[in-house]
Amino acid sequence: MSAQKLSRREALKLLAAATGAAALSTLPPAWSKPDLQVGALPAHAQTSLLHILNTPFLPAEIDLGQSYCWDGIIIRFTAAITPPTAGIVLQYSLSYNPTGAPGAITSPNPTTGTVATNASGQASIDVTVLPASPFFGTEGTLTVVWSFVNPADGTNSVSQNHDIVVAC
Amino acid sequence: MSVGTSCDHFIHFAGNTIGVTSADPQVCRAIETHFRHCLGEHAPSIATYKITAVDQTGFSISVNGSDLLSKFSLGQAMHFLMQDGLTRLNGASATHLVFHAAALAHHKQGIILCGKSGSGKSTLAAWLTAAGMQYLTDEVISLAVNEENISGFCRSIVLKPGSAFVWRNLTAENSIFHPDDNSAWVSPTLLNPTAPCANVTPRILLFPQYTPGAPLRTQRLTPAEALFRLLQCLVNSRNFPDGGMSAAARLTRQVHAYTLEYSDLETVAQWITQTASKP
Amino acid sequence: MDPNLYLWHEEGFQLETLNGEIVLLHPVRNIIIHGSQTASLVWQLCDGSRTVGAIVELLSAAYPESADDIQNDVPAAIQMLINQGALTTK
Repeated sequence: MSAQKLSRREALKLLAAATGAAALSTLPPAWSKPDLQVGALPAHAQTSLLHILNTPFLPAEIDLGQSYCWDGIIIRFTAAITPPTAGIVLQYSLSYNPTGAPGAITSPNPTTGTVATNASGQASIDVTVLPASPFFGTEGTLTVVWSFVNPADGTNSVSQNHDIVVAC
Repeated sequence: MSVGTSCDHFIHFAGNTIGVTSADPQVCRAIETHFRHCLGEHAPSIATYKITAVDQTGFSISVNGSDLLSKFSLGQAMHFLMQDGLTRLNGASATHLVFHAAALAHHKQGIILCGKSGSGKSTLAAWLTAAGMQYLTDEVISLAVNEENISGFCRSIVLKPGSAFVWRNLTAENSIFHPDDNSAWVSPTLLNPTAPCANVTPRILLFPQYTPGAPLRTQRLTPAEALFRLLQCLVNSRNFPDGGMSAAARLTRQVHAYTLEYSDLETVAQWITQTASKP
Repeated sequence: MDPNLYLWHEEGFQLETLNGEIVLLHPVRNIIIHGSQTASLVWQLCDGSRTVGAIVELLSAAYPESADDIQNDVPAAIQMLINQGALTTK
């Protein structure tokens, strides 16, 4: 820009040229503080229906090479929501009902808690059931009940059972 | 198509199709009532759902041949079909822009109500339909990239718990469905027998926000302000090389756009009707 | 802000201009920006050919009655666009 001060008309002409304005009259007639607003696209394919919780996977026994009699048996439960969305907080509630030799849930402690879904819309919890006596094992039904923490995410709940037999 | 107690249907939206099959009469009846105006001829499907009765109270669902292990109630099964099916239809289209919006028609003038969950779109759509407007959708509209008219996903109106629209006084067997989330699916023909409308030229674009106790406040938007807000309702932007920008901009150039803050349905419905009636 | 700074439009944005206002969309970064008419002027002048100081000088000459406001408004708008990733100093 030259050291000489621009006239208003020259400045407007330069402005029109720089901004591709068809005519000087299409430029703003007066200055106002530039207003900028920022937003974001919605999640891809989003609907306004609440999520639905389901349990598409069978409970899985996790074998870490531990002794089931002394260290307990580990069962993984997995819940899934549709549409698959990350970050939805689910609540789990666990219970173990022995039908034979007694045992108890030792992990997680306490037996209710929350876990957030991953990018696939899934959340998992590993549950350890320990026989009351390592010499007698345990037999019973392990149950998880999944539900949404925030009703705005969804309102249904699902439960899953797994029969445990630890013979020692 | 229903044969005896089984059915085989195709739900169309935004240039794509999902297929639904069931041998259960309850499921068939629910689909034929609440998706009635979305059904069409056989077409290649992006997903196929099969809903099977497992016992007296439970249903299983398979999607593209893979079973979901959960046992669903009828309400959950229908909710899943609506949710999962619409998500797939929304996400698949590369020929139509899909916006999160309700849409109605008043004397062939299209009215778009754009907004996310909780803005009151479905409640307003129900009220305006009951007041005599034609109904395109309460959820999503589609705009083909090179066309002027919009179409709607013409399902039953889904009224969530807390909706101000009083549907409880309506009684009609099978026309109101209650999935397990305490919402109500209300067939538009229950509110207005001539309601369903396939497509319309949009003339008014509204961004409503329900605020308890608020007086009616309207603000006219510039086309750029309208485009900024409209893009925030575009659910399949990534399917287009330009993000859907040019087609969305074309839409905002052809409509009058306003924000609306309201608390009283009758007052806002009056304003909408008057505005839509202006030349 | 350094008045000798040059600014460029960041790549990847789709642009629509409607009645002198701009809307920018970056589908990958998931950002949408709306700019008023004067914000649009600032954006368009940041094309790599002018420093911040030159932009302020040009706009002050075009709108002399608001020269004092322009001294503050323009760097603030530019900073906001930089913060949102719409402008770069390379």
